[in-house]
Parts: sequence; C-alpha cells; structure tokens
Amino acid sequence: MKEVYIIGNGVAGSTLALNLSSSDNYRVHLISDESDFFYSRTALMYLYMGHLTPEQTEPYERDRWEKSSIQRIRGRVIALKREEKTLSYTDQDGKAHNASYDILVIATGSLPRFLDWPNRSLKGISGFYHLNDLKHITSYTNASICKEAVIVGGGLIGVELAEMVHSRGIDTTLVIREPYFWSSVLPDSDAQLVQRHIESHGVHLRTEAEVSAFLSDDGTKLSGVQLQSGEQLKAQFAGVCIGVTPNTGFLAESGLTLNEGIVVNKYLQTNDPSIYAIGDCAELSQHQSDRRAIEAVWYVAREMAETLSKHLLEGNTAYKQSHWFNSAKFFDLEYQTYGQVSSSAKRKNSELQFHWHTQKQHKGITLSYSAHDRKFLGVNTFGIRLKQEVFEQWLNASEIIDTVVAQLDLAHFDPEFSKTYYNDFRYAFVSNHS
Amino acid sequence: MLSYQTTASQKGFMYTGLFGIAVLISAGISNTLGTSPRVLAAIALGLVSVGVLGYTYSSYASFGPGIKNNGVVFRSLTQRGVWAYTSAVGLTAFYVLLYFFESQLEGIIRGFDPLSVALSGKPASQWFVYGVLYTLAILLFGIKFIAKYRHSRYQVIRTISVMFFQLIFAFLLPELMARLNGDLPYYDFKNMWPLNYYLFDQYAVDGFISAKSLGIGLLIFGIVSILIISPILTYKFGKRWYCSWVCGCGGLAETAGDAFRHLSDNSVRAWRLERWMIHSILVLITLSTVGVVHSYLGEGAGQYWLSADLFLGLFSLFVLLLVMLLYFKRREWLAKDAKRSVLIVGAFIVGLSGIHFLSDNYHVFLIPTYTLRSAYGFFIGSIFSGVIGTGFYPLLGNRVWCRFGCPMAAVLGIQQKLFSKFQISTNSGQCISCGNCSAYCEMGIDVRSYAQKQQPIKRASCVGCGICSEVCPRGVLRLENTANPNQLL
Repeated sequence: MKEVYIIGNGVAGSTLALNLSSSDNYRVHLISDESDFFYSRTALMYLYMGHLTPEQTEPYERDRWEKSSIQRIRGRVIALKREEKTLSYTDQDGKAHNASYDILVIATGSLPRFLDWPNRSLKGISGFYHLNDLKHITSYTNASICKEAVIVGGGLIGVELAEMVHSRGIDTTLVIREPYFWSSVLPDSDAQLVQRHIESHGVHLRTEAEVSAFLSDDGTKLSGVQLQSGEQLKAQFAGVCIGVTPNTGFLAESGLTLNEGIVVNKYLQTNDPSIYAIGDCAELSQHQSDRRAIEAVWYVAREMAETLSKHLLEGNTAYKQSHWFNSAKFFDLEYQTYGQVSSSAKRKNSELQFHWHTQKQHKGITLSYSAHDRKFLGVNTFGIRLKQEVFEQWLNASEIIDTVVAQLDLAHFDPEFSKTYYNDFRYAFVSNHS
Repeated sequence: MLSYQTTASQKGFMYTGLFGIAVLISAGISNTLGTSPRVLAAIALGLVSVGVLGYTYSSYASFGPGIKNNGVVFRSLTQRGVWAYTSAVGLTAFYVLLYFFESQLEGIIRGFDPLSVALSGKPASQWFVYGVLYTLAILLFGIKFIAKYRHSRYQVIRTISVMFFQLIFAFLLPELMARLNGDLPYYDFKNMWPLNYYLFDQYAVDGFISAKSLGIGLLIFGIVSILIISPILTYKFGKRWYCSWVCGCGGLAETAGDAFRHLSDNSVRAWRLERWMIHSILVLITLSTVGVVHSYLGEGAGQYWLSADLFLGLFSLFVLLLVMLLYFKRREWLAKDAKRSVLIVGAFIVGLSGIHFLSDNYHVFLIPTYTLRSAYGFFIGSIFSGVIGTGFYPLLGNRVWCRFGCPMAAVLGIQQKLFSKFQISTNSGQCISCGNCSAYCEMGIDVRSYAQKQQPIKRASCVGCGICSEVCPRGVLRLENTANPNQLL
C-alpha cells in the first residue's frame, strides 16, 4: 500500500483523492489549509450573493468523505524534504507534524496577482480566490461602511466580483486595462457586446485605464483609487482581479523545477519522479502551440486530476490537451466557447471571423475559420446554449465553416420553446461570408 | 440585480397581504363586529391581491430578465427564520380548522356565498372557500412566478398551463357542472385516481351511475385516464406533463411554493426515505381502493354489472401482467431497484390473497375496509397532503407531498423510470459543480451529482419543472424528450 499525500483540496486534489481512494494500492491523505470539505470555488459568488448556503457549494455529500478511506488533514505544508520523502505541516493549532509519502501530488492552485501599487495593503483591498478572500470582501463591503467599490481587472473574476458587490447596492466601477471588457481574449465585437450588457446593469466602466495608487484618508483604510489618467475614484472597497499566479511559494527551497508554475512533463510529473503537480499550479513543459503552459481554469484542473488518476491506477496515461472549451456568465449573459476564437489583437490574417448578434445585443455568436481552406476553428456564443459534443465532432473532423453554419441547429441546447436564431444567423452569414 | 435585502416597498406589500389575511380572519368573528362577512371577504381578497402583485412589481420590475435568487439564503422567510416558522404555524392552523373544525370558519364561509351562488347556485361550503383561496393563490403567485422567470418561455408557458388548469378544470368546470346536473359528484377532469382516492368510492360511483350517460362517461374517463392516457403522455413527455403542467398540488407548489424550493433535502438519506414512503402509500391506497370497491360490489351484488369476484380477478390479472412485464423486460437494468419492486409486487399479491381468503366483504387483511379507508383519508388525504404538504412549505420545501406522499406521483414516477423518453441531458464537461441545480431542485434530486459525472438525469421523482436548467450558470442542463426509452414493450 502506497502512501499518497495530496496538497490542496480544490477540484484537482479532491477529484484525484476520490478516484484513488477506491483502490487498495493507495492510502490517500488530503491536506487543506482552506476548508474541511471540498467546496466549489466557482460557487463563491453564489455564497456571497445569498443563492447558496456553504454546504450547498460542496460537490459531494459530507457523508461520502466521512465514509471514504481518505484521511482529511486540516493544515498547511511548510517544508518538503525530497531526499527523505517527507513533508512537514502545521495543523490549525500551529503544531508541527511530519509525514512520509510514497507519492506526493501538489494541487495548491493559485494566488491572486497584485502589482507593486503604493498602499496596496490598506484595509479594504482584496483579491478574490480563497475562502478567506471572501470573508474579507464580505466585511469590507458591509453596506454601512461601503458605498462605492472599484474592481480592478476586466476578466472573468473581475466581472464576477463586480456583480457580487453591485448586488449589495454598492456603486461599482470596473477598471479595465484593455479597450473593451476582456478584449485580451474576446474579439472586439464580442467584448463590446458583453460590455454593453455589464453597463446595462448599472456598473460603470473605465477602459484603457490602469491603477496608479490606492488612497487613504486615515492611512489604514482605503478611501479611493487613483488611476494613471489622474482620475480619482472614491472607494471603500477595491477588488484586485488582474489574474492569478501559481501558489508555489512553499516550494522555493524544494529543488523542484519551478518556472512560473511547477514544471511537469506529459505525465504531470515533476523533475522528482515521485512528485506530481496538477491544476492551476502545474506548468506543462510541452504544450500545443495554440494553448498555454498554465491554464488556470476549473475544467483543466478536473481533467488533469482524471488523467493522473488513470495514470496511477492503470499506468502510462499522458495528459493531452483536448479541444479548448470554457464558459462563464456575465451578469445574466451566458457565454460558451469551443475551439479557438482569437481576440482582435491576436488574430492573424489566416483566421477569419464572422460575428452576428441580435439588434438589442442580447444574443450573439462569433465563428472563426481559417482563410485558406475554410476550416472551422472555433465558436463563441452569448445568450445561446450550444452542445459541446457536436462541436467536438466538428473540430475532430476538421469540418468546414459552411457545414457548421448549415447544421448549427444540431448543436441546439437552449431550453424548450426558446426562440431560435439559426435562420437569422445563417442568412447573415451567407450574405457576408460565403 | 435584485438587492439582497428586503426593501421597504417589498415589506410594505407583504404587510398589505398579511393585513388582508387578518381581515379575512376578522370575517370569521364579524358577527361580534357587526360588519358583513361578504364585505370583509371582498376587502380581504383585494388586499391580498394588491399585496402579492405589488410585491411582484417592487421585486422584479426594475431588474432585467434573468435569475433572481439574490439573498434567498439570507432572508428569514426563505431560510427557516422566525417568519418561516410563523407562516408554517399559520398555514397549518388554517388546514386544521378547514379539515376538522369547519364550524369555526362559518363567518368566513358566509362571506363567499355570493360567488358560490353565482357559480353553482348553492351557498358556499368550506371546500368552496378553500377552492377560491387555492385558485387565487395559484393565479397571483403564478403572475409572480412569470415575472420572476420571464426570460424563459418554458417557464412562462408552463405556468400559464397550471394557472389555466386550476382555474378552469379544478375550479370553474366542476361548479358549473354541478349547476347543470345536480346528481353529479364534484368532478375535476384532471384529478385522477390515485390522487383523487375517493373516485371509486360507492357514493361517487353511485352518483356517476345515477347521473346517467354523462356520469358513466366520466367514470370511464377516470379509468381511462390512469390506465391509458397517463402512460402515453408520460412516455412522450415524462411525468412533468402532469406534475408541473396540470396538477393542482403541483401548481400551488410551483407558484406559491416557489420561494421555498431550495429547502428540499438533497441527501441520499432523504432519497431513500422518499422511495419507501411514496411506494408504501401507493400500495396502501391501491389495496384500500380495491377493498372498498370489492366490498360494495359484493354487498350490492346484482346492483352493478361487475361482480366482486370478477373485479378482483381482473385486478389480479392486471397486476400479474405488470409483474411479468417488469420481470421479463426490465430485469437487467432494474437490478438495483429490483429489491424494492419485488417487495411492492409481493405486497400486492399478499394483499390480494388477503382480500380474497381472509376477508368477508368488509375486511382487507382482517382490518375493516372502511377503517383502513378512513385512516388513509385522515392521515394521507388530510394530514399529509394538506397540513404537512402545504403548511410546511416554509420549513421543508414546496414539494414534500409530491415527493414523499403522492401516490399519483408514484405511478407516474414508475412510468417515467420504466419507459419514458424524458430525461435531463448534460452538456458534456461544462459543469462547474457550483450546486445551484441541486439547491433549487424542489424534489431534492442531487442534480449536480449527475451533471458533474456528465450523466443524463433519469429520476422517477423529477417533475420536469426545469428550474435546474434555468439556474445553471453554464448552460449544462436541458430537458429533453429524446431519450431512448429502452423500447417500450
């Protein structure tokens, strides 16, 4: 029986732990500094907005953990001795413990990224990733002390946090470095559509804007945010959502190869054969040209955990980046993407895009395809649900754009009786792009 | 976005509605106040309507279409706080008075005489008052539901459907039919046995027979409904065609109970309890109905064209066919459910022989038929479906009766599990395990446990309300009639 220690009980660590716990070959220990039970990080916003209770955000019943053979440890790993295959951690009372492992899996996720802004440690400033961040945000945005908020960062976490604080009646401004919301990822047409939706909810936007300093009246609490343009925004809360960095600080002395994240091979193995890394903290040494070495999203973390489970249970299973997909919800606007749709800034001439939206911009679709052979490359949808399975097939078969447009209803996934737009869409495409 | 706290105007309209209820109560003691109960009843219903519609307007008008669950778990009324307990006590008290102390409601009942006379020509009874309040609740809260979910055509159409069936089929038609034909027992076309457990009671059957062709037609329709219409519709659409589109209990749960849907227990333990309870109640009502029919057929031999023995023979044959069908056609994939099914079927067969060999006309299992029957009426028909089923909305969720008690839901659930094309499909790997689907499932189904494994949801209890699909922030769930039903027969 091998001792497996997993550091981090997010989706990567917990999925792996549950998968391995059914095997007689492994005794699984799951260490978390954050929570007693695995909860869904993506549900933190619903916790804040009062849609869900803490227990409802836990993907598995507590009973399941208690009945499993997994040893759950509440503690923080402080040191790793690879030569002896031991790690030490402190429990919640600060007491130190040592443990020896046969296999160690690091799934410690990310930390919110901060820049070196003046006054960045004032009370009232928080990132948004960890359960503790949510506690801080909740206390900082108490209606009695917070009337205005500034969210820094025009990405998925930024808009979530803007929706959250806005739901408490706080006057919210989103500060975005790019010309449009998330236009580092979305084509400008799509970014503008989302931006319009965000503004329609009453959130203010400052685009092509960057923070130069945080301001305080009394030297301890935040009172405003200074932009590089010189504008000062009043704020009692500032959320910093400009991205995340892998949470690997405790490994500095470990001798593991670290770049931005923990460098792993295709088996998700580090330079130490008995140590693996999965999820946000793992950096692939080799990756597809159209994908990134670190992809800090839920789906990738889960997929890595499934792959490593299979590798440890059945042997010889490499992690393969499947077709990219992702989804999000911007206030009431759902977004799904399959395959590759480049942002306007990164788009090359070899990639053509066709964007369509309804007059009120409540629904939109963007398709991208290659200019020389009309091969379908990817899709973004807004306010329209489409079936992943169908797009996987089209991408695998290198289907041409004209077929995808003609057969788009095959991917229909909106609820029954929903108004469909396939004909409008097709008509627009045929008039412009065929 | 909906502000997460209750606003002043929302509170104002809630108090208006509560004041309306207080006026209605005062109608009950109005002889001491000297005010006409009719006037008080009219004022009360007006105030309640203004309260609900005003609350709807102040909650949703200033926000765009979309999910509006902000603050649900922070509010006293919707998260088992003081307001929730107060409402539960109030509702329960109302049901206790209605079922067991209707004389106390005399003043209120008289207030509804004008409406009752206008419809059926008869003065109001406590059941008429209950019908008016029930229908009004579905209509008012139906409007609230439509405003809340106006982004979804499925929700809007479904809610118009339950409002229509309640108003026309459950409320207006029976009253008008009573006016046309005085012999006819109260008949709600959509309310089929075993939910309508007294449909085959002697007084009802005698009433149908004495109402001649119309009555006989209705009696036949009652039998056809459960044996032929319900399996066909469930095959095509799942049990939702009834439970969340037509049924009155479901209608009240979906509309007035919507705010409490997240209180349903999602645990595996609750699921286990649900399966035992609902199927036991189905066995109980089937046995007692067969016992009752058997006894009056035997007693009044010659009076009916069906003899007691023939009836019992036909029924046994029917059950035997069902058992064989289950055993030979569904054995492989029903493995995990087999134990339960065998138990149920076993209970049927023991029950049948019990009726036949151990009893005279008046006994089932040596227990007097009518005692069993009235015990069912009391504990299941009144206490469970009314007092607990509706009175406990704010504490246990809005589908307690439908989930744990309703024998109709049990029948449709078995149909849905065995041969329906209905399922909830999941969109491959898109689930983020956030938990909204499971939390807002009124039937306590842990939808997420299927979605995160990328499995379709095929559960006997699913009423197809579609809210899981609405609250999913990633578009993972879709209600569909496209599943392979394992080939019917």
